[in-house]
Amino acid sequence: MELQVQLLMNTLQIGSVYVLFALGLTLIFGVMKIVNFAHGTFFTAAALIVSSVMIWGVGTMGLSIWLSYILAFFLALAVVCLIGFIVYIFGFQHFLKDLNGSFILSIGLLLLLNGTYLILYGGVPRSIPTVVPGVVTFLGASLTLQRLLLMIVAAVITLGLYILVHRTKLGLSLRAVAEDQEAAMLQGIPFRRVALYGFLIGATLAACAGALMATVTPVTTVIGDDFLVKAFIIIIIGGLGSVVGAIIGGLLIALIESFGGYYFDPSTATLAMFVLVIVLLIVRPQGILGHAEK
Amino acid sequence: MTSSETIMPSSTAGENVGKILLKAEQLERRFGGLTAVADFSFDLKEGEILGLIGPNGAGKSTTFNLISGFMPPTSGKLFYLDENITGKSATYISRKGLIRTFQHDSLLSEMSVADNIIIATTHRLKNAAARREKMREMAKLTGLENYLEVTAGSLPHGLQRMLSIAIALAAEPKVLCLDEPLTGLQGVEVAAALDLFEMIRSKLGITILLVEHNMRAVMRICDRILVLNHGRLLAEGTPEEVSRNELVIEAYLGHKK
Amino acid sequence: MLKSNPGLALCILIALAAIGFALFSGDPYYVQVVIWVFANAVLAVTLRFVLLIGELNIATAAFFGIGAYTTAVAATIFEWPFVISLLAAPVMAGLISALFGWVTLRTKGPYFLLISFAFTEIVRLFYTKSEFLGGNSGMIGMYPPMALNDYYPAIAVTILAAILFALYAAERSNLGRIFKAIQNNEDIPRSVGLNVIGLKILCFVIASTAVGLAGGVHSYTNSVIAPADFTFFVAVLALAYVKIGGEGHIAGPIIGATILTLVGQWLHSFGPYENIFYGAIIIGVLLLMPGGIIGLGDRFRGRSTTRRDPH
Repeated sequence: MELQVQLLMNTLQIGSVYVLFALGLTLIFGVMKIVNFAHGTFFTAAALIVSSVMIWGVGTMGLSIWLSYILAFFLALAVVCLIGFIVYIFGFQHFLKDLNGSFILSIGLLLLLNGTYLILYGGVPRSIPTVVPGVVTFLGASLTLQRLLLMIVAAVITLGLYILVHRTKLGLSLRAVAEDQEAAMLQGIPFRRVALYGFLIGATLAACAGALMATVTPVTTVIGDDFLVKAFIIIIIGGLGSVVGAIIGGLLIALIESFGGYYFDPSTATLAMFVLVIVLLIVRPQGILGHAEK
Repeated sequence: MTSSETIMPSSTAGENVGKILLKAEQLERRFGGLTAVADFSFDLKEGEILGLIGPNGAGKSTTFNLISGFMPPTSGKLFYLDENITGKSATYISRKGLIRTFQHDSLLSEMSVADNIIIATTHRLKNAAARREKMREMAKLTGLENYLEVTAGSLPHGLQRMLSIAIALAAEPKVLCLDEPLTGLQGVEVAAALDLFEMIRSKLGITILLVEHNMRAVMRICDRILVLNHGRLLAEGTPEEVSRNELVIEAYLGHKK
Repeated sequence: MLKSNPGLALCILIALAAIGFALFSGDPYYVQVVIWVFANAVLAVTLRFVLLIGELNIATAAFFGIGAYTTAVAATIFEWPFVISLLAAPVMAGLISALFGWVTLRTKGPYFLLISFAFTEIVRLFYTKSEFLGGNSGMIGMYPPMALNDYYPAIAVTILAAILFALYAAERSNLGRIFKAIQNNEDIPRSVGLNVIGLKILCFVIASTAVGLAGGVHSYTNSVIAPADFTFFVAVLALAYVKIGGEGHIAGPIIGATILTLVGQWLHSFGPYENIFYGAIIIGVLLLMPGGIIGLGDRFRGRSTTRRDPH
């Protein structure tokens, strides 16, 4: 019982980061019909910025850990937004709805950005000081307060995105474009601007995930890349472009990883995810929650 | 079928019509909550030119997608040459000789005219020389013999329309389903296209199902006409019968002044 | 036939010269470079071959690896004869790709692309976890028979060159025309009785079989293989070869592979700058000369080649 609760806690914690990461990827796919292979670089950039700003803020400036982290968090979001804006304007906007072209572009970006990060930061992993000390126990399982807070923040951001997509005017435009771009344009929705917003929101979500992840794991220049295979699996399971699907898919994959990783080993868990995807594609070619026919 | 009034086809409609080639029974197709086609039954008889008309969004293109296997019907049945083809793939149905054209993207825009037509001969003819011969024949028939090496996408619009018909003919159809083949054609081109359709029917013995917006052309060439409105059959009959039908005038012709 | 196609005649001459070089040159390093050029050309050409139907095949790296591992298992564990071990590679790659293609190409959407990437990483993970495949350290001891040892480099180049010519012939055939038609507008071939899904799978299987054979050749060339040799980065490099050379003609990826393989020989020492270099090449070519080197040649002759930005 204690063990299962512990594994469930791990599931929620890994899952909350997976969900944020996959949400960005699936949102960008939904709106622009592209797959951003460089999505992990947004995650990495945020984590790197958080780690270096924290080291500078706490070490050099003598700021409190709390203040440094909040400063670092928002700085990371701002910088990633800027990177996202630049790569959109100079790159992706020329490849809207061009699946192969955009994928190739994003592969180039991945190499370029990861190489740049390595030159700027070097290959040594860095850990940041603990922002929130303390441990909570729940049904016999223990969880650091920091991890609990991470889950709560991630859940709030996810909820915020859900509200944004389903309750606001921008969300309506995003959904309209995702559903049928030409029809949306006929109704006066500016496709290119909506695509830009969608792309920036997706990048920001990855940045949130990266900035949160930096608090619980050592930061390296390739930290975001490890998420990519799993994020692909998540969005296929959840149905490409589906917000709810990404949430469920993210939690499901985290569940398999957490329990499978414990009872077997992490690689077996990853292999199991892949087999699950293949079986799903054979049985239901449009993903679990994707539109049945389109 | 409360709102529809079916006019039985008069026995004189189409002089050479024979057995039923294609039969649709209560076809229905829904997209989510939207019903594109419902309770639609009709027969296509050998040797006739059957028109399918209706206002925009009436379900004409959906009907084409259903009978050609590009989309499965939600319910209802389709019979072609006495075989139940409901739910069969587009490949299967086209191999049986039911060939359709497309309203949009009706050709291989980046390939040459010759390649466009040769592709269509591939399934029937296995020999390269025979394919080229067939290609030349079809190009000549549609007036494309001087454009063989031109990239299809750069042809003038009228010739692109002819090319999509040449592609369909090269696949040796028994039934040819033409999806708005006259769209964007000028007066002379329309007349030439209608002559071509008449020739396809009489010389090549191919039965034609025609979806078209150009009412005058439809009235002139079709033996029988089906009128769709909101996905349902509104009327059926000879051109004169349909053009005198109150419901049709109200639903369709009325809007077009 | 060769008279009407001077380019093909030139390529045959180059291939013969390369085989001759592999036979008679005393310098094993340069012979090795020649083999690398041909192997990379096969990787790039097979990647482009699947692009004929409009699909980007990251799994070309995986099937190269599957070929290499199949030959390694056949040669070192089963101790099958040389030729059989070599031929097991394309057979295995072909069978697995048929299954993979059947699952992913039936579905509409970017599943092929996404799963081809995931598949590449998963297969690599599978090698590292399989004791009998040597785990992380891989497999060792794939040697051609003693009698052939001196000729093996020439045999390798011959096989790789033959793959390139075979893929060229396939593209020039009616089948190649159909593949291009599928990419252009798959509804048209479907509407005239062609089995589009089956043909897509066929295209993918042909390319995977070819790259699988190249993997088998690689196994014997290197004598050592490891999971790290078959990451998705192999496909990324192949993509760079295709982009810089140009997609418009089969010569494009061959030219790209030749140039970048030679440049890559001294680029290895630059660490992270190597990745930046390849990334910049991919982005730069994509944005500034979408037709690649081949496209530049066509532009000189006044043909329009640019196909970027469908709007």
